[in-house]
Amino acid sequence: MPSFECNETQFIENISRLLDSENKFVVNRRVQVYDDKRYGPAGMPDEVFNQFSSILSRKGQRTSVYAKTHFLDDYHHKIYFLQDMVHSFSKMKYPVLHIPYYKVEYSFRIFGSSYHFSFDVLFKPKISIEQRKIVKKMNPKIEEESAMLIYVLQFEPPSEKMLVINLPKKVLILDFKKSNNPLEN
Amino acid sequence: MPENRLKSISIFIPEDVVCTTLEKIGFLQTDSVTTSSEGKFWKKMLYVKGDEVISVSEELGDYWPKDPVISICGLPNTIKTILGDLDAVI
Repeated sequence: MPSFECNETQFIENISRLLDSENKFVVNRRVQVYDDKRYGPAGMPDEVFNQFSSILSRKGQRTSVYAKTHFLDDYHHKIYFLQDMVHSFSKMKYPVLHIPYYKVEYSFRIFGSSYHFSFDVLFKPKISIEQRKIVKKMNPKIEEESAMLIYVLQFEPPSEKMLVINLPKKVLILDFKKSNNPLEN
Repeated sequence: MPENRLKSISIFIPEDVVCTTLEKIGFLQTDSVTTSSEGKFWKKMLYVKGDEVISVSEELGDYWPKDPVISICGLPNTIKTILGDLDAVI
């Protein structure tokens, strides 16, 4: 069965044309959270990296990223110390500090072909200074457990309305977790 | 009562001009996130007015020209107004 990748404009315009033609079709949607080290701070454009600028530093996009201060990654329960390298394209296969995200996949089938559009929505970083208990498993360099004031990096999940393509109410949308079609996995 | 329709366009108009146009006709920005698709990073903003929803996605980074993607799920009149207003800017 032919399978076609669309961008946002193509996918929405295709659905619009199908609605105009009054063909019957179902839109499939899968939303799943991932934390697979796909997105690290070195690859982020400046507009996104600036959200981390109180705890991370780099010379430019795709250059090595270092901790500017000690901080706790609350999402992964990991602590970083000043000058720790957290991401480098040349020296690391995967980032040490990575950003979780939702993968949103839309598809529909019509006339024996399937049409797909997918996008990732990154969790939002939130940085604060808090009193936290630091334990040994957060970093092998830690010798003693203690409580301290420290920068805390949290990742907030995006709201549900940002994970969808808005479609008219008459479009039937089915959510699913896993497909048996290898093309859709 | 007319139903919401769909329209998605990519247009060579700066994102701030697009957003101002939407705000002028009563849409309010409710949220903004960073997304990634087609190997690019995007700033996606959501504008809402009643049952009508518009997303504006602009590619992040240093590149030119800027051509935000505008996806509208709204009334036919709203779509016509937005397309007319943006055409007037061009």
